[in-house]
Amino acid sequence: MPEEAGRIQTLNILLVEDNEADAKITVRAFNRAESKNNLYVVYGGQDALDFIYHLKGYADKERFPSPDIILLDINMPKVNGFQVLEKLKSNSGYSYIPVIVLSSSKNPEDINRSYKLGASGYIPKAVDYEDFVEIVNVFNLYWKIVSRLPRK
Amino acid sequence: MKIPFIKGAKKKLSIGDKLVLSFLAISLIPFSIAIYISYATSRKVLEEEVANSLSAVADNKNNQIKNYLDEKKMNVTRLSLMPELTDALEQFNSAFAKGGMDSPDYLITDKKYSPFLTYYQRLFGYEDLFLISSQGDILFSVKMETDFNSVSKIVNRNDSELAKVFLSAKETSKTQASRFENYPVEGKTFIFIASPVLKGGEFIGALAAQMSNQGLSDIVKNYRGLGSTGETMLVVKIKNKAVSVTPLRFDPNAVFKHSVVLGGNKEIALQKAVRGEEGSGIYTDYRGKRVLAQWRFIPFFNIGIVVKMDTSEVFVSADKLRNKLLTVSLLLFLIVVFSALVIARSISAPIKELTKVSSVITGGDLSARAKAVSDDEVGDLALSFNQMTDRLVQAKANVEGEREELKKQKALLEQANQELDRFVYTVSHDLRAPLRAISSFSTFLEEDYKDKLDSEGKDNISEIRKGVKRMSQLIDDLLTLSRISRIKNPFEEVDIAELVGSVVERIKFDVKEHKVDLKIQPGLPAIRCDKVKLGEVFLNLLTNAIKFSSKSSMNPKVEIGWKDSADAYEFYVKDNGIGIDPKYHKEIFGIFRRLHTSSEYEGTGAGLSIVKRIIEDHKGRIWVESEQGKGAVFHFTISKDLPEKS
Repeated sequence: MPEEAGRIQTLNILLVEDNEADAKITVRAFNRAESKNNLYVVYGGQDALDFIYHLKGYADKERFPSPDIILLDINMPKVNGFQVLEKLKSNSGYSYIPVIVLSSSKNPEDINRSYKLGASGYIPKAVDYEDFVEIVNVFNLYWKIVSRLPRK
Repeated sequence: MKIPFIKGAKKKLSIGDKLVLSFLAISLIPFSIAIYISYATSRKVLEEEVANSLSAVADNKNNQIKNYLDEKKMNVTRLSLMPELTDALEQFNSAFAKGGMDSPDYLITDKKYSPFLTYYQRLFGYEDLFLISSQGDILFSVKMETDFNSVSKIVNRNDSELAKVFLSAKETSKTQASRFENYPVEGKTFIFIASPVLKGGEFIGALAAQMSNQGLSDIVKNYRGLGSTGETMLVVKIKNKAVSVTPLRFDPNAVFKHSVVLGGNKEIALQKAVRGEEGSGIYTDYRGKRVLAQWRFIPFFNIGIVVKMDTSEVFVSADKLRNKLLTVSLLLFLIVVFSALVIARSISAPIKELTKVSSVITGGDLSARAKAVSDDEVGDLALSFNQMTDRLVQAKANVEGEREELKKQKALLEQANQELDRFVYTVSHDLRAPLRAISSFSTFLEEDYKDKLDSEGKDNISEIRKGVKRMSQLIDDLLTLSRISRIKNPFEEVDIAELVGSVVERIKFDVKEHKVDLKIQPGLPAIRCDKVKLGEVFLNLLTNAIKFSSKSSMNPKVEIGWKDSADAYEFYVKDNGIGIDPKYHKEIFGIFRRLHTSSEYEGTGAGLSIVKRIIEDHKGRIWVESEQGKGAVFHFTISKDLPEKS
């Protein structure tokens, strides 16, 4: 839940990432950035939807709160990032949640498609960890301090 | 001549036409000449023959008439020499002198001699016989009882033909003939023949015979040898005219009625005959018909004889011959035309068939074949035409097969290229995740085991991270390269000055840092190209130029310019850097080709191969002018003739 305006917010971030190593790196980078965020990780597109909709194992709203921001990988087996994005943005109950695509691809087609489907940002995954930490810092700066999130 | 089975022969003569004309020329020209010569020759021969036979007929008639007249003349002469006649004349003379015709002496004399004279008058066929005194008195006439009212002194009537001939006989002491004299009342024509009667050499009177034209008419009316139009005309000169004295074949009442004025141009033959000429020729007769004529003259009687026949009859056989020849010619003409048509057809029909088949083949139906009907050159032509078509079909099949094969291979190649691109893309993409893992987890090692690692361990980890970074760059370049070949942007009008400006903006930092003297030729053109890709080209070349000039030179200089060549725009990027050995000028455009270690000059070596690919997509080429240590100039062209899409 966002804090009062003007104060640093603690964000509920849902990380959708099928690659465990990448998930670990991302979690560590966020921790290293010393940001007070609650990072929830799911390992597939279907899980992401279930989490957001509080379905199946994610029915407990205390344990699995609705995310303020979603970090979404594109290349995933079964339900991929584009499909998650499409479903979410076509559901009026959840379309307000900003989705930031986090992908290895720097391909303009992927970037364009993401924004077309309603992504609020597109962050290419840096190969170098230090670079990635830099990116996470910028991310925090933007989403936690500069930007204002929608209210439910 | 229109040959019905050859179509399309409008201006030019078809083979059929030519053959027919040639046949006609070859056969008809000599034939016509032969016909003409034979016709002319036979006509002449016939003419001569007919003229000769006519001449014979004329001579015959002439002789008949002459003989007849001679006989008449001779009979008078003979009678005049008879002693009985001399006696009779003497006694009539003396009786007449004593008491005229009514005296008893005259009657006695008359009784005595009348039977004698009457006998001869009948025997010789005269109209009358006269005894005339030396003074010109008619002493006796056979027909005196009926015709003569009185014996007249004929010399006083010197307009009479009897008087004229009496005087002439008296003067010449020879037998003489008078002119013809017409008696319209009686409808008769007469001539007088007078012979002197001498006793002891002394002229005591004359014997005169009156003869009608009947005998001559009978001769003339015999048309034997004169065909259906031939006839004999007897004419005498009276005053200035030639006058017919016998009936004409086509005008029985022409005696003394038909005449021709002498000196005119009518019936020349008659004019010539009465003038005493002899000859032959063609003239127009009284019926207005052309006639072939012979003319003669009998001097004693002053009679002109004209024997004539219509030319139409004379030349009837020549005309028959001509007609026969014409018929034969016509027949021959038809035969020639027919056989020419047949032959022309036999030659041109297979050719026409061949033409038809070839136009069918030209139209695209290669299954058509010519029928080789004739066993000659045309048949051979059809056979070799068919062989040619077979080969054409085969060649076409081969070409099509090859084209099909090429198409397949091209498709395969394109597929392979696409697959390769996808492969490169996918692999590069998927390579990133493990790289990131290596990089990140080695960093975690360094962070988490800081105290336990010695400096060599830390260096090793640092090397791992460097390797990963380099690999990451390689992957980025590979991705760029594969994306450039995969993505086709539409060609659009791009202001190169603007494009270069935006590229320079992107590398502003490098330019400033290395204090590069960057010159951009003013007036860079606006051209059709892929804006994004061409931006990539300038970025790569400028980056290279700055990279290689900034380390070798204290004042690096980079220059961008262009020139307009015929069908392309030619751009260049020039630097004063380390230069490139000419032996590497080709190699540098290969993928990941590097001439330097990455510690000397950073970069993966993919840039120029990306640039080359882009230039080739613009139907252009890229090359470098450089020598070791003397800077480099990269030239590239962009075609002015580009399709809608790259």
